[in-house]
Amino acid sequence: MRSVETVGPRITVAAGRVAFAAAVLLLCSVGVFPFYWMFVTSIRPSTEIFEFPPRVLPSADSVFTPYLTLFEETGLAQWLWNSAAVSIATAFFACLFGAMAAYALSRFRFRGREASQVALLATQMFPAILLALPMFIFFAQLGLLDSLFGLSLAYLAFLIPVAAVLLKAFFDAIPVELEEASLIDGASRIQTLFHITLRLSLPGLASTFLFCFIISWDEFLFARIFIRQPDNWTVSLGLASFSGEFVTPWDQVMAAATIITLPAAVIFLALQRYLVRGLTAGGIKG
Amino acid sequence: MRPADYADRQDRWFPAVMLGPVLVVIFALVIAPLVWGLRISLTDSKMIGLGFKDGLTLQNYRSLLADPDVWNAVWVTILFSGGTVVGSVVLGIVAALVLDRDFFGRGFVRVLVILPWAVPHVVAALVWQWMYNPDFGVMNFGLLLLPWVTATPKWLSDPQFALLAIVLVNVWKTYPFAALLLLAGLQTISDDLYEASEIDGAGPVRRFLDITLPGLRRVLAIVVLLLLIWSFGNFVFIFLMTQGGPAGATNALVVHIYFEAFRFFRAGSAFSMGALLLLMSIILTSAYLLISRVQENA
Repeated sequence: MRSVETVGPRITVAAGRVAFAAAVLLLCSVGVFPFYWMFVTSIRPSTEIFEFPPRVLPSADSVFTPYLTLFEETGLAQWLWNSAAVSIATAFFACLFGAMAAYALSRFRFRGREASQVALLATQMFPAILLALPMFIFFAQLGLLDSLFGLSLAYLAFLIPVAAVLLKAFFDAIPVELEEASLIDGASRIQTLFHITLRLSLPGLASTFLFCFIISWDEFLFARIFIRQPDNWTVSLGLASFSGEFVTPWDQVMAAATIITLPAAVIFLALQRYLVRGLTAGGIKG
Repeated sequence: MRPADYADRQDRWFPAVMLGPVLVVIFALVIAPLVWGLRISLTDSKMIGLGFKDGLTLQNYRSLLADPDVWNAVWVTILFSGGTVVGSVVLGIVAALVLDRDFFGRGFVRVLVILPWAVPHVVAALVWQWMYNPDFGVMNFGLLLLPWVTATPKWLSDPQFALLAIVLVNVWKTYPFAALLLLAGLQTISDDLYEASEIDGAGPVRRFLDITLPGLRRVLAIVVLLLLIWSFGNFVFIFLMTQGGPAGATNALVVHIYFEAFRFFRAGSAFSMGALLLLMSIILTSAYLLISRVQENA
């Protein structure tokens, strides 16, 4: 009797351990494999790419020529530059105007405050295409199509509200008493804003900036609709232009994909702690 | 000093000035375009300019309701979003349950789980397109390793598999989000509940159904709604991987609207479909705002 009693639970525990290990393994491979495949394809000699069955391990004579070819023969350098410029400018102005709004919403009680907050949340929820189409007509009239400035302006339409909602949460966490003390000491409100509130919310500002940066870096739909000339392409457009060619040069595509993923992935991992808050605040997805 | 007293001492113009830029942006770049879009949907505009010569008409809405392509697009959108939610939530719960335990290397596994979220959409689309390649793709190679598989699908060019293939990509891209949110939800459930039910002799399955799932109800509702909203608006995967094909099998509303406007240049008709999408989004968004409000006040 006794042995039966102990064997039962022991089997369950062992089965549980195995199931747990299997789940961990499955999760890791599901998450990582496409990245692995992207990189392995990018360094494969082009003669080995169209082989079936594919070689799962990296080839013995791996090459980095696709990376060089990209910079020498395609506009990748230009696209990276364009994307960086648009993303940095957009993130900067989103943080600036977003911080102003967030400060007002966090520190003042006024008529229309509730309504403004709901408007900020709601505007982020509409599918981008609903804004992109009419904006296209407006921008065509204003001569803002096919310009990185116009693209950045369009991104601000959904990133300023995102930044405002994110920053409000950071400002809310700073005690009002600190500001009051500074005001009583005779500092002006603007001085207080810069010396107390903004200084204390620097981590919040930094993460909001990076968050807006990766959303701009990732964006495709607006870029696709607004931008024409290859000189003005962002990384999303440049990368997408490879697909649909008669024979897709998969080694180069995957090399470009690796390069484009790197900054986004690094920022994402740095932002881990803020991710959930960021994405629930900003309903932005391609 | 309460915030209200503090505010009373401030100049009235200060909040207005601070909010000004945001309100201008929301009005000029969000509300005005939405209203303009609705206005265009009532004309047979060809997307050439701002002026309307023709009067208002409901024609677009009439043909919209009679157009089988539109209803197909609505159906594809629902299947795509629903499929994404199911896959993402199931995988997300598994990931959250795993990460909720304390084990060696948890931080590392957590990073690996989040990774798909970090990849740009266009990159994800192209990498998966390559993996799905019917002749040289690693997906079919993997399938053939299974003992009972003899024939492999052509994935993106097969009407039966194309939508499934794209749903899988979207699940891969979104489950980290579900996992992190559900993990945060799991950590709010008190350990006492689990201990009490263990003493009562409940097994792991019972405990999951009786304690974990009810405890996650609110977080789940938010995850489901956000995933639905995002999937409704998802353009990149379908546009890059199948262009809505084959034979309309993946022609979601967003892609259909895009082609109506930029391939066929029927702005009026495109915007009337946009109104349909807007209606669907408003319903989901209101539900989301309602639930997140309730949670905030609770």
